[in-house]
Amino acid sequence: MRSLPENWDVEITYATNGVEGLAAIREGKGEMTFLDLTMPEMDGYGVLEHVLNEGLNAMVIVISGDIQPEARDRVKRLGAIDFIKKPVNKDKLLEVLAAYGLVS
Amino acid sequence: MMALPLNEEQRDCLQELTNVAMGVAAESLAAFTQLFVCLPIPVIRYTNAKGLVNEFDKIKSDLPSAVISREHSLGEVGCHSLFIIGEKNIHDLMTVSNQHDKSSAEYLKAVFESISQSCFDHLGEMFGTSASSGEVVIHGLQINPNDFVLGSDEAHQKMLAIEINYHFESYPFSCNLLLLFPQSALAQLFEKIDCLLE
Repeated sequence: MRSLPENWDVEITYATNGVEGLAAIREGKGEMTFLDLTMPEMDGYGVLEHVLNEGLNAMVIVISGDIQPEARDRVKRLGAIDFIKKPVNKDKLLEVLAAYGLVS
Repeated sequence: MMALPLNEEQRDCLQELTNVAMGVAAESLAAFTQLFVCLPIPVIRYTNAKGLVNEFDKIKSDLPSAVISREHSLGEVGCHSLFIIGEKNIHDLMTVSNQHDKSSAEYLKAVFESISQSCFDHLGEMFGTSASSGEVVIHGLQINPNDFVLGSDEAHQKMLAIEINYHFESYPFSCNLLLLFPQSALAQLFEKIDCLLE
């Protein structure tokens, strides 16, 4: 979260696992979601499947240490708008957010 | 189970660093097997060096195993990696990798050399320090990992052990990479973690 833009006017909700994250998205707290793939309870792929199948309102950027090309392809197929590899580079994150008009 | 000698923030940081390094290692493993490698959540334990495998259920259930190790250093932090794969899993790994002509020892050595190198090179990069790795040592292909003891200086030490249990989608076999930080290296390791947290 240290890599998020300073003074970004958003309310941040944290989740410690996929189930908590999905619950937050269902409550409308995940318009912009940064999603890890390796999580307890439910992994990131599971969260993406639910978001896709339930038509939930969430723009998902996956942030993961899984750099296998197949992982990137899968999350894109499941509706993630982008994939950023860990460790997160602040400039890269800003670049992606700007590309989707999420920061100016 | 012994309490971890790290605070929650240090533990989360170490888990996150491991998560990144094991992802790079998984890519190396996938290159060998041509299979999608499922990344686990790394398990961190603080345990006695002797009999450390007793702490890890996934390893315990898969005996006898091949045990291969290597020494590493991350700057001044000396540590080890250990590759443990069950006897039956070796056969499966060789089969899916189409390695019918190579000896299993030769192939496992090549796999471990690659994944441990990737893992520690990346850890070194994240810590902002140089990483170096020693020779790969095969301790046996059908042994109980508990019979394996690190160097004599470390046999009676406690260890911070990180277990990474890789498994492969659609295939019922797995292998384990353990990252081992002896008690004598922990102060320096925690110093590096604290630097990253500042």
